[in-house]
Amino acid sequence: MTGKRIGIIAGIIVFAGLGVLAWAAVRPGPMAFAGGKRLMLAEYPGSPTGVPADFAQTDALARAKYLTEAADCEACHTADGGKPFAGGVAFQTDFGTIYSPNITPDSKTGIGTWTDADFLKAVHRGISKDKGWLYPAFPYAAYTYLTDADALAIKAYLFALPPQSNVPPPTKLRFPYNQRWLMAIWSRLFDPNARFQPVADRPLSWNRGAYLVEALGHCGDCHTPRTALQSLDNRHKFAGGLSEGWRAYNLTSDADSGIGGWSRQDLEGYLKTGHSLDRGTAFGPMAQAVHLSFQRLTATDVSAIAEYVRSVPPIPTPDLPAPRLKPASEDPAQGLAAGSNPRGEALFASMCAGCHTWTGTNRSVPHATLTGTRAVNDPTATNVALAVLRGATTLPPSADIAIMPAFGQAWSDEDIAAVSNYVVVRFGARASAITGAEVQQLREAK
Amino acid sequence: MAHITRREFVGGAVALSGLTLSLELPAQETARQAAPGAARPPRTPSAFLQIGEDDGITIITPAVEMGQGGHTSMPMIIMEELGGNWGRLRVADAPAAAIYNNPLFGLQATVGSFSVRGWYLELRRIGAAARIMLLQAAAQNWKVSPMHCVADGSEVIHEPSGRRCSFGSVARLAANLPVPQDPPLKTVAQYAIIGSSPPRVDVPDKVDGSARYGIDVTLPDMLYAAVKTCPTFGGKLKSFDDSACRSMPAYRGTVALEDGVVVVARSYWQARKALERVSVEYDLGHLAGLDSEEVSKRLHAGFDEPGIVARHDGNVEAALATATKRVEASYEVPYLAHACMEPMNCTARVTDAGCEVWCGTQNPQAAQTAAAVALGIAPARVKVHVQYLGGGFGRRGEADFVTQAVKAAKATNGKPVKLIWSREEDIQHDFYRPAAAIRFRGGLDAAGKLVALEAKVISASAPDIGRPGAPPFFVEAVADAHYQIPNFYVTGLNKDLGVRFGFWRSVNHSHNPFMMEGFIDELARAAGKDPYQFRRAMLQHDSEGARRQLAVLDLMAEKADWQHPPAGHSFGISAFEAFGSFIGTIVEVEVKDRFVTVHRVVQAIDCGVAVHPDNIRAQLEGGMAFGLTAAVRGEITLKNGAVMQANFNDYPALTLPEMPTVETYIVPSTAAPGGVGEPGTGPIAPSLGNAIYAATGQRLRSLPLSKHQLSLKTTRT
Amino acid sequence: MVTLNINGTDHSVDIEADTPLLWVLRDEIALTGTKFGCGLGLCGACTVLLDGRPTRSCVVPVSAVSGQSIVTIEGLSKDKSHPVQRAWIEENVPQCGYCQSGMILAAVALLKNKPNPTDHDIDTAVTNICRCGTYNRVRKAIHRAARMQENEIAGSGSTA
Repeated sequence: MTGKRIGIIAGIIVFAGLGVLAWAAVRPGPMAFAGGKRLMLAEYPGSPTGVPADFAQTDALARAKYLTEAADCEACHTADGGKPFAGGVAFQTDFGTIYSPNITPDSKTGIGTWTDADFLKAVHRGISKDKGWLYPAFPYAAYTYLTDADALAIKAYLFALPPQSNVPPPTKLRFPYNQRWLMAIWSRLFDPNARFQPVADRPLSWNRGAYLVEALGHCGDCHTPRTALQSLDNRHKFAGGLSEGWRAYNLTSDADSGIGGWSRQDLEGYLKTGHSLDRGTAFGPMAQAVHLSFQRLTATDVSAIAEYVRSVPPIPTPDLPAPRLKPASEDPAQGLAAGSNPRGEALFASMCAGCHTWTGTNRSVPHATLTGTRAVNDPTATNVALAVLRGATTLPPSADIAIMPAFGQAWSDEDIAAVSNYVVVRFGARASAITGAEVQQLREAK
Repeated sequence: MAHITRREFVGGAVALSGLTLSLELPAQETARQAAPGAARPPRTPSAFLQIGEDDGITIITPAVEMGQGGHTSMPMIIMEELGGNWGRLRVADAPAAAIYNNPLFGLQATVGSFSVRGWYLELRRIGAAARIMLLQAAAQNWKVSPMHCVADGSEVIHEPSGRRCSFGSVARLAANLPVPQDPPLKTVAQYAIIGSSPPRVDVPDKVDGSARYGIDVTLPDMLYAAVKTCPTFGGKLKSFDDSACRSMPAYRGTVALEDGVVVVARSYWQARKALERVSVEYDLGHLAGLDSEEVSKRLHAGFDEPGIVARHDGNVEAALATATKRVEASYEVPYLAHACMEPMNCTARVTDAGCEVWCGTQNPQAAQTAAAVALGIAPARVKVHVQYLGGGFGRRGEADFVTQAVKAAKATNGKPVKLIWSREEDIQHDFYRPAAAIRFRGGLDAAGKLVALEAKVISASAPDIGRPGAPPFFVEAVADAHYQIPNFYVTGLNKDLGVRFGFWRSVNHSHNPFMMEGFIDELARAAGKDPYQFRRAMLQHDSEGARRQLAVLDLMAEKADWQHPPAGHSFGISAFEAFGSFIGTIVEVEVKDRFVTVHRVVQAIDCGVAVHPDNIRAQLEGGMAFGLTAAVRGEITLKNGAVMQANFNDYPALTLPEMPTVETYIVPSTAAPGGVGEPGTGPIAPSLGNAIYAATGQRLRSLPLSKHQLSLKTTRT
Repeated sequence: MVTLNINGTDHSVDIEADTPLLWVLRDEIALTGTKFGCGLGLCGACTVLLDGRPTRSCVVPVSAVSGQSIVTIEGLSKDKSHPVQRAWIEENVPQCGYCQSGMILAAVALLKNKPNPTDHDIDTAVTNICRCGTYNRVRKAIHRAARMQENEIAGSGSTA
């Protein structure tokens, strides 16, 4: 190897490395879409952080609880049938399964021995006192925007919980992902380790919404697509993602494939109750988020979230058509679906029509309305199939009487595919062709 | 024989209010009359029929009505001999009393397809006795000989003179006459009612919402209750906290049970909402780790454990050793739930006077005893008001829901409490059809004749019926098979795993025929024989059972045109004795791409005298549907000791489009009646399995079909 | 306070708004013909007609039905004379009968929309669960009722 060649090769490597760093340096943050001048918190008139003015309780612990609910720690740190915050929720990735840790103040199995500094290091930088570098299944690249005060309030709430002795299953990823120190690189690239900075020329309500969405609710972790390195691709902010197999749909203001057609009230109602008339009902992880987090926020906070989310510029999701808003025919024999899928029709008749009706619009049981919902206007039929498989595992507050039951136990993959396709073609804008094999994969998706 | 005294003949002492009855009979008399066995005079007619002065005939039926026709068949039998006017008939359920014990098995229970079987003779005697008493009363009035009087259409007619009078006009006098000890009975040839199909008496009320089921009972000041119990069998209640309910205005209180809680409120919906707010802690008990894989493992382990011998003909071991061909297979079936359309419920009122209970029940005495035990009082102080049953199927012979309702009613200071189970509670706290497994070994000789058959039957005995050390009764349909097999060895082992089990429609005939007739089919195929001919060949011997089973087999084969299945279709066949009748089914299927289309079901039954042919057809068809549902998709699975199914989403029923075309044939017979409520359920599974084999070469040794990725396809569309 | 129009009569009921119509009918109005089978809209035993449409009343909150006409099984006729009821009796359809209120109303609604239903029409419209297996008689009775209604319409057109 001549010196010249070594030089050229070295030059290419350095150049490539610089390119990566440059790219990493100019990759957009989650609020880049808004443009404008960013201010330090102290410089901004008004306080978009902490607890809102219309949260009545003055008790410090109640206020800390509010922030914990806004951050929705409970959802990821409470296993099915497990004690609250005691960990053990499984996150299946392509690299293996990650289990959330016990964050109750148990000194042996939880975080009881953690200091404030330990807690901030974990939440802001993704470094655990016990485990070292954390995997970004823990959304610390979002929580990094939490103020110290808010993060420590959450810690105070956790420490007020009863300690639970619980050792979750060990996280086992395959090589090289089991090398946690590699996460230091990920953190360096994708965690700005910076606190929230409001945008100067945006109103307080918008900035409050930004804080709720980016620092606490971490909506992008589900609703923004990911890059190959598993960071959030904020060039396509809120254009949609996946969560536990469910499609977390496009939240941009695109009229056809996003929520551009939703009114402010539609969105606020959806967050408050898990349901919006003619828009749909939250299921799966979103139903849980409504149940544990959104429905517990104040009216102004929900309103702020809506204001912020609705300001995200439109980005289309090409495979999602504009929802069909016209109900189907009352006559089972009429409509696009008629005759084309006898198995799906028979299954729909026997188990679904009773609640969902043949028109898809049920004024007596509004949350059973399918017309206009994104899930049936999705030609992959992913969320319809998952809803049929798993039912409603979390009861949204608007559905006191009856919840969607799960049919996955008794029905075959082919049957679920057939009825999902029937529902999509009968009520939606574009037909789907989900197969039994795809349904089987959805069963396993967690 | 002593006269039955006036006091014992309580014609005047009966108080009828709507469908309830208050009946006092001296204890010794009821016991004497109720004991099964040796010839004795007919039971007191007035305990079974009341004739008002307006000529209304109220028949007090010892069989409850759960859709099987008990309220029609019992009156038909009495009326046949009585000579009453069918148009004047009213039917009332019997209260809990020993006089209503079924003559065949000594309990007052509508179970085991035993009602017509057990009561056929006795009710005829009672009807005949009552007729004679009425004739005698009229004859007394007219001062003529009763020999010259006949009864017809609720009238007594003195034939020589033509004088007539109504039953009602002489009923009171007749009630005081002695009960004839041995009244002559009609012959089958003389029947006018039995063998016809009068409209079922309960049907009109069932088309306009006026039929009252247990769940419909309404009483003044009534409270409502909801219940939840420990999800694992044998688990216990540790503690409960109802503080979250206290703010609900409709909430009245929570009563602790051994294994759960009953919440009482002003209305059912409020009780149900309050129930969700009660937090409960259970001690899950030692079955908390049980799952379905473990159940299967333990059943199969039973194959190698010693069982009780149920049949021992010849020397099976030797015969197998010298057989030309040997076939071995083991079969298995899962737990099943009843899933009656009306969830379990009971209304109870507890006062100082005693206890009253209203519910649909197949066993009023069990309900009475359960209430008595729960309250620590004598059974005589408990009145049971039987309602229509929204499905029985064996589930409503249990009294667990009675105990719960009574315990709640004890706490309400005399107010009645209507306890209603949710569907989830109903499916998860059933008395399940037990899981079962059989291991077979069979041997064929060079001519393809079955020379040896060994069967080891493993299940849970429900309950241990018979003498200690006797074979468990779940070897039925195997050990009592009518096939002539020179070397035939059957053993049975009770493997009670702790999962609560009970009687499910057709009981052991719901699982053993699937396995036995499936294996017989395997043997036929191994012998290279037609399955129908293979069975025929084993029914050529001289026994009543063989003869009757053969007749059923032949009738079916003829009606189905066994030799000529339509192109692309396949037949499956099974036949056996069940509940005193001989039942067979041929199923015609088409199988394509894992979809099974059942084109036709041909059922044939020899049930002796066919009391109500249309009802028999309905029972055969309905029983078949019950069995078909189970065969296609019925499975109760366990995880962590709890039942995983909860409602019709995960324990789906058969739907109307899936119901096949059914043809039913009744073998004309004058033999004593056999049962018809349950036989239809057993043969569908083996016939279906055998048909699927014929169509695909795939032998199903376990159920349901969904386990084998097979589904049912609708036939008509 | 809710006002409900049931079988042609208005009823004022003081009841929580989220109470399912089924339980209001059964426990407050004492119309027990409509049955509870599952509580999830899966079995159809609770079927009533809401503005003529077959509706599973166990999943409908009572607050959602004021202003609509509710017809229960009791409202079909005073004397079992509705053609569907007559057909049901003539064909001896019910066994235990518990599902039949809902089954009959589903049939009534079907025949209103399709006076001459095909078997496929029946398959898709009558999805009530029956554990006794009366389905073939249900089908037969619906065809029979269709003929009865046809004859009655034809008959009523004649001048005698």
